[in-house]
Amino acid sequence: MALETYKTEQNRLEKEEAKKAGIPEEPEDTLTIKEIINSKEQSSLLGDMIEHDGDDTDKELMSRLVSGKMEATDIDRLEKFRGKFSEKTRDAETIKEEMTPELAQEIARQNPEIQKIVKLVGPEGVVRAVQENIMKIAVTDPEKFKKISKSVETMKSFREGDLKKLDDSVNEFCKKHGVNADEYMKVMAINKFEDRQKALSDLVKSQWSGQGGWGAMKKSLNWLSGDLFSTIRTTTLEGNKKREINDALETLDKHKKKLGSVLGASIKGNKDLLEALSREIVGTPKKKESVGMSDVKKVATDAEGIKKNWDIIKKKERPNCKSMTPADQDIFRNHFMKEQESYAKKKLAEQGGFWAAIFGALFDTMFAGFDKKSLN
Amino acid sequence: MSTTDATKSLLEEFTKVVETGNEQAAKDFIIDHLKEFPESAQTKIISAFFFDALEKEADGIEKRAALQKEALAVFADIEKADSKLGDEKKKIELKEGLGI
Repeated sequence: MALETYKTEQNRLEKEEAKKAGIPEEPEDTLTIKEIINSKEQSSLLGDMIEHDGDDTDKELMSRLVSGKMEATDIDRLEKFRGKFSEKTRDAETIKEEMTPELAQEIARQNPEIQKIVKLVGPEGVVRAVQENIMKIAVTDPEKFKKISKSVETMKSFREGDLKKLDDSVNEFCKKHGVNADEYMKVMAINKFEDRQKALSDLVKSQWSGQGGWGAMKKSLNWLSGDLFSTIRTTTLEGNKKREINDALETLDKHKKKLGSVLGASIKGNKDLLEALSREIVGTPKKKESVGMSDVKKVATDAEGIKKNWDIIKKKERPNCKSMTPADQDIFRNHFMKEQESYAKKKLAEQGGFWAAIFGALFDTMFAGFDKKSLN
Repeated sequence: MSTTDATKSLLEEFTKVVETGNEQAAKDFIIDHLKEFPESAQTKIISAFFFDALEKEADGIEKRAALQKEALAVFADIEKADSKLGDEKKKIELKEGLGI
């Protein structure tokens, strides 16, 4: 009892000292090394993180962690990863909670591929899969995790936050002013995809590019509300005044109609239309296409590739392989396979994007079923 | 055919589709044969499709919001100018009516 009291008091004093020294307090749910090691899931994730972030010594430590052959000094080394690991898993837990069957259905409504997947495995199946992967992405691919987190936040805001308020106010505005997106909608009615894309792009460009475009509208607006207005106030020729005001009001009306069609389209339009309008009006640069399938395929190793690499490496590093003992051959083969796995994953990670994730999944499948005995 | 053999032939078939260079056909192949892949691969494939769709959807929403904000702000300026000029026009008409 006295010992417990002492420990509690000691703990309190340490925290107080740390606070005085300006050391930030650790969140309550920070995991201890012991807790991480005792959990199969957590230790595997920590292993993934060390594989990604650590140096060679750390990777050896990871092998001992995975095989359960930890040494006393390893705990100290693991300490250096603990805070970062806890922080990443905490962030991942927050995003994990946002991955709901409702979100899966929301995405499926807009995306035919997700629609098909939902039909196959159900929205819950989709959620299970993404929840299982999000933890790994959080500890091994911070950039990708950041993008996912941002996307989740945007979806949430569009469902219940500021973006919803904005969309609602535009909806209300369009109703009040009776605006619509007639011209754009007519183009959207063209059936053939290529023709529709071309017509859409031409229409948006003709309306918003160059001299009659967005910049010109803003300039004209400044002139109408500034310079022209002051001229009208000072001039005494009533007839001219009236004509100028009528002309200005007519111009404003044209601007209104043009802008109204943009606002109407922002509610009714599809993604291609929004992309085209956004590029011309807001000046959003066209999003860089992610690395295509054929490029990723070039770096994705298949079973044949592994066999070819084996012949090259064996000839170069162990020309006397056949005279080695079976045990040594096995060690060499295992080392080669580990190198192949790590190299393939590194190359795919460098490519990033959808196809790298797909080829990564297929590489793992091929690798797991690869017959090492075929390497002789 | 063992599970490994089935997976091997599935991967070979997929490679043939990839070699045609048709990305949509490759995506369709993966989804159509999703259930034939080992469970761990299924999980990764579903995640890849989902995160890609999620990012595209969020990107569209952000573009839409930026466009709406910009257009609404300009529309508000038009309304202001409209009202200023409208008042001025009314004044002239009033004066005309009064014969001033």
